[in-house]
Amino acid sequence: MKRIFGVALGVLTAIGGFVDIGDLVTNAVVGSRFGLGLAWVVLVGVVGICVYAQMSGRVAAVSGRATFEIIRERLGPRAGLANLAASFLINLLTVTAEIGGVALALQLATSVDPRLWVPVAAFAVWIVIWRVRFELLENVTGLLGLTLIVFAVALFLLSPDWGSLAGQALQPGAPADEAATTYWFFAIALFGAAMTPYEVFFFSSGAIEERWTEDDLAKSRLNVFVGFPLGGILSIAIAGCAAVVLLPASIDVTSLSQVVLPVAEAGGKVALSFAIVGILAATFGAALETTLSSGYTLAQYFGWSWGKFRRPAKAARFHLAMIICVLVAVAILSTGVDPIVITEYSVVFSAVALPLTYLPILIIANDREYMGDQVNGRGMNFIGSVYLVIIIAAAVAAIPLLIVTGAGA
Amino acid sequence: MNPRPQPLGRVLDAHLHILDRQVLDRDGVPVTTADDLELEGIEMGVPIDPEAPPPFVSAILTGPDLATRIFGGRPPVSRRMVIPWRLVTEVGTTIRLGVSGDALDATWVERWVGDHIIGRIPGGRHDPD
Amino acid sequence: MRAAAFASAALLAIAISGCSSAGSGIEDAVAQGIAAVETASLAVEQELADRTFSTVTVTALGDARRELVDATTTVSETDATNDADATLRTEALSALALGVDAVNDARDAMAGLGSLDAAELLLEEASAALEAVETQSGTSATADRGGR
Repeated sequence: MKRIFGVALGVLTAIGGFVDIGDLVTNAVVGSRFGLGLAWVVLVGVVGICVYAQMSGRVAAVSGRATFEIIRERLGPRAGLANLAASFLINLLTVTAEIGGVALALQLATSVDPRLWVPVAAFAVWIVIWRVRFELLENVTGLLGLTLIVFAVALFLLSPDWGSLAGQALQPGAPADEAATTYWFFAIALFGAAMTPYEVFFFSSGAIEERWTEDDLAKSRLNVFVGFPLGGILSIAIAGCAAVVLLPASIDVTSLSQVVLPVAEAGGKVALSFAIVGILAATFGAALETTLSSGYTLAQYFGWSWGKFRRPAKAARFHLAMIICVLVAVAILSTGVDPIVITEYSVVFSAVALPLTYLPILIIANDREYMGDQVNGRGMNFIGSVYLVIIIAAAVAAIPLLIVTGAGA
Repeated sequence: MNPRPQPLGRVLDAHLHILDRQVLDRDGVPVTTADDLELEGIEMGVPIDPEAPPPFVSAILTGPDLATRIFGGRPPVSRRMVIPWRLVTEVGTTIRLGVSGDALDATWVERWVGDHIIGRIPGGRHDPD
Repeated sequence: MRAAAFASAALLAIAISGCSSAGSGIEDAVAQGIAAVETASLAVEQELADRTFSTVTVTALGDARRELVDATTTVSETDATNDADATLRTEALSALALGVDAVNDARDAMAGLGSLDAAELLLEEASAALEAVETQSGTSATADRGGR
């Protein structure tokens, strides 16, 4: 019985933890402008993140080393530093977006200006990282994030024309009033939102935080292969709700308040409260993960002592780095810049950074010195390589499309 | 040509096996990454005397040596953060030392941040829940 | 070096993407206005049907107003190249102004001043006005560019 509970907890946490502000916003924007015409991107992204999260978890469990430690060892300090600089800056942008997302969710609950919530949200993120046990942090935010299922429920309650929705999904392409370049721009943004780089750093460092064994690896495989796809379905439900309610009304999503309107339409106040709780939990959980990731990447590159399992004074530079990151995020948000805009840029730049993160993992997963005989099999290498090609194509096309479409205007 | 005699013991490549490896102390706590190595018995720009004893690794360097290794140059001797090689007990996927990290000069930044910044924030010295 | 190149490319991208959207003009601003007014209508409708929380409605109205003001600024700063453009600009500005008034009435009603039903009607009027401008700009744009 306890085993089933443990497995269920893992899967549920993975589902609830999949969605972050990037997924919320990008899927809603895409749904309100393209219907379900980009749903296929979510599926491609989910398979990709499953493959790579598993690979990075396996590397951590078998070799006992986290991703960035190995990146420096295998690629050398110069390439490792370039990788660190790019990954860290984009991660910082994501931290800013997530903390902004928490503030926006609190505005929905209280109608108090989000700029007033930013310091509160940042402090809450810090204090949880400072004092709360790793597993508790993961489980609570993951389970509360499950309330986002209300988007799937809302989609059913809206009694959409399933045929036409399926039609949109199965005939990918831009609708008449959107350009093809905009379509592909959003495809890349959605891909970046689904395959967020911080997820991989967090996953592999988390494996070391929780001191995974071979046993845990099998459990994590289940969590990833069941949980992430279900999380992907939640993302599609968010897009679906926007497609059914906002698209016909010519409402292009530009704020978080518009994302929840379909839920209120479908299920009234009860559904709406679930949605707000879910958004709050998802963004807060993601804020924790991205902040920890920024600490992990720096500490692992420079060889600092790190980990939540250590007393903070014994992982001093790790904690100091995270405090500084949170403060920088607060500073950026205090300028009054729209967190939604930051989110949109963060997902596009995440897409650009994907090769930096995934290529080293693919290399290391094939390295016998670290993996012994647990190196990638042919099947895994094949899928990994196919995805590497997709990732590089997306990364190369991202910035030109960003410029040509004016960030999807 | 005679084949070169096989040396006794393990053969390590400094770049592959030592540089950029994590250095752990006696308790498995990370100390630093091996940023550079100090060699003794060899002078810059002076040809090696074939009769002289072989040069040897005298220390692992960290701190400013990372920047100089990537971008060029050498920090002065007074600025080097040194971990003497005699403290190394094992070289594998990580390099292990036989002493506690706190006893080393090279960990002074971590200890300073720990004592004066993080340690001063309430809860900083508590063991995690 | 790679990091420096990447950073400068990123900054350039952000700068340029900011510029290129300004060239899109009145059509996009009107579409932005329609989206905002429709959002406000939907929020008010849900509020009147008691399907939502007032905090969400107030937030949605605030966001809608910000979009309308943004659209107004864009249109105000557009240069006209011919008489048709100038007329279009004037009409777009008055339709957007109607939208701003409507959203403000709705926000005031949420704070207890005036009626939400009246605001809803005004929002419908603004929506119709903006759609009229959109059709008009659509036909003149098609004439200019030979369709999209």
